[in-house]
Amino acid sequence: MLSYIFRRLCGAVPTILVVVTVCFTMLQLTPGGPFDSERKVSPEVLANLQAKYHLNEPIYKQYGYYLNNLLHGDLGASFRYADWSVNSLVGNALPISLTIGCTSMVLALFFGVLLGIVAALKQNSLVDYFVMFLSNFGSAVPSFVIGPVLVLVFCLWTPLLPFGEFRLTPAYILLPVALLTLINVSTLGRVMRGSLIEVLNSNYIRTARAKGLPLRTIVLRHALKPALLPIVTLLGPLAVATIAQAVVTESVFAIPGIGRLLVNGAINRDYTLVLGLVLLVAIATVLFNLIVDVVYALLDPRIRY
Amino acid sequence: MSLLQVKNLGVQFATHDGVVTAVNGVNFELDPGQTLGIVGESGSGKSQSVLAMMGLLAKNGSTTGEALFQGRNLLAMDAHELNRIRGDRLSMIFQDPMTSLNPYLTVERQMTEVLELHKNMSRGQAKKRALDLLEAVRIPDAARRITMYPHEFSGGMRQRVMIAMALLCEPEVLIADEPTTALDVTVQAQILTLLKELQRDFGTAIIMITHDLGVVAGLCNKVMVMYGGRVMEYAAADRIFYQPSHPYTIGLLGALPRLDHDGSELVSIPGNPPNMAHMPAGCPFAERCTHRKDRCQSELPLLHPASHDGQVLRACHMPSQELIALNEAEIHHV
Repeated sequence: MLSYIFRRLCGAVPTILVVVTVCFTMLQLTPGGPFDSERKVSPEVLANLQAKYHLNEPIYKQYGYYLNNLLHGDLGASFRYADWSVNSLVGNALPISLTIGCTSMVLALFFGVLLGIVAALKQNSLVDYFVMFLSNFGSAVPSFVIGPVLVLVFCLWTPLLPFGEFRLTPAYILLPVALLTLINVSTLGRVMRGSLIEVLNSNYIRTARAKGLPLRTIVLRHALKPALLPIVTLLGPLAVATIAQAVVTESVFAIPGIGRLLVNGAINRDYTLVLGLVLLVAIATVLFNLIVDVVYALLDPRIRY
Repeated sequence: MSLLQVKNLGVQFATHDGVVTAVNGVNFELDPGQTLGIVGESGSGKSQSVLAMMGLLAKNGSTTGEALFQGRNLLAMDAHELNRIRGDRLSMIFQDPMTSLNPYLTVERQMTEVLELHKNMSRGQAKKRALDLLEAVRIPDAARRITMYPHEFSGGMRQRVMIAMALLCEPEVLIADEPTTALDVTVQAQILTLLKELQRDFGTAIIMITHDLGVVAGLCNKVMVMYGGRVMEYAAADRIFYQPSHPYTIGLLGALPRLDHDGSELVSIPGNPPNMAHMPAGCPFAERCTHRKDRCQSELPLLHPASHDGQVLRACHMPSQELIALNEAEIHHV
């Protein structure tokens, strides 16, 4: 198992290199540059700026400088935020996004699985209809609609929660966490319901019933593990999707996290910042997939690495 | 009193197209240590009748009639009451050993949980008993194999595990639903021999569901032939084989490939089983029966003792003597 993890991590290096290269090239191809703004910069200043960030040199050289910095763990200096390195920008934003993202993932996993189990066991009951409604609602209504409505209801109409600025306290992260949880619960709940219903119809559950086991034992000991497999598979893509969702939620709730940084970076043509963030997401994706594969092997005895 | 007494058992399924009756008016009795064979084509209701007794019908299924196990009606019990009997006094093995064991639990866990539940054994005691049973079904190197997962066993070995699991509590009745259908022919023979020996050692009564008449011949005392959810003939195994008195039984026996005939073609009964959602008014077999009369299509023949001998129950309008005579003449002719 350990050697498998090691091999996978080694295999991730070329993947990430490709991501960096493609992203680097695409950024260079986008029209406009980091120092194009409405207020014209004098040619001398522009030349100085370009020299400072090596923009006057050929692209392959810039690429070489970037990779060299990367090898030393340096994501470069931000083009837009003078005096800020990308490392420190990301370092400030990451804990905020991570807190919100992880809290909502844990909550979504717990409630999604729980609701899915109840819905599967009480098929076509009120609970089942509620879960199905919730899951359709969460999937169908986009977060940029639910988000502002939440702000409207809980911050403006009934001023229960603070809004407009941001601090990393429960009161401020409650709404974004709730929004992300709702979106993820809608997927997880539906998948859990479907997969448990399928497992409960399988032959080995019939055997368990023929043995006289009570329903609780059948569900917890015999059905839960196989029913969780699709959930585990889903967690990887869902975690990545949550990062993408952060772009929207962080804009809606004015959170200075990774998502907002990425939006601003892209608008400002802040090459190093965007590259750094894309690199971060790529590494996260590779890690999530690895974790999913490892958990899968732990759950299913038929899988060996 | 018999161990198991099934009276007028019926199974219905509520479907989108209305109520479908899968089993209708099934009666039989099972004495301790006896083996009953239930024979019929796919969809004849043989599996559904035993699943009904085990409380394992699909959610849209319901039952009528009675299934008295040691005097208590299994069909009227709630899940809690039934759970104290099934797996303990009444156990079941299934057709497909590849999917009937839980792939996510070790064989040990799947066996010990039965004893922990029904016999209040500790894990250690239960494991010892499980090992004894695995040895009884002749699984080599049982002490090592008990810790393995089902996918590490072959099909035949898995069915042995299923049998061992079903016999853990020494049940009075073992229901075997086509236990050899999914297995290779050589393995089939081993499993059947094993069942016969275990029955001798444990004194378990067996209900053997099969569409393989060869299985019945080697194992069963009594045979019930089912078609279209109804019992066609119910008699001692010898009588079924040597003097079948129902056209369907004769057809089934005629469809057995024989070693002493060199004909290359396999014989079959022409036609298909009836659609259970639209059962014919008369005899369910009438459409495929070579002895069909007008009466057969309008009037349902009831299960009654054969005219020549009260030991045989049959559901056919044609007098049994006449049919037996015809059949014997045909066999001699061939």
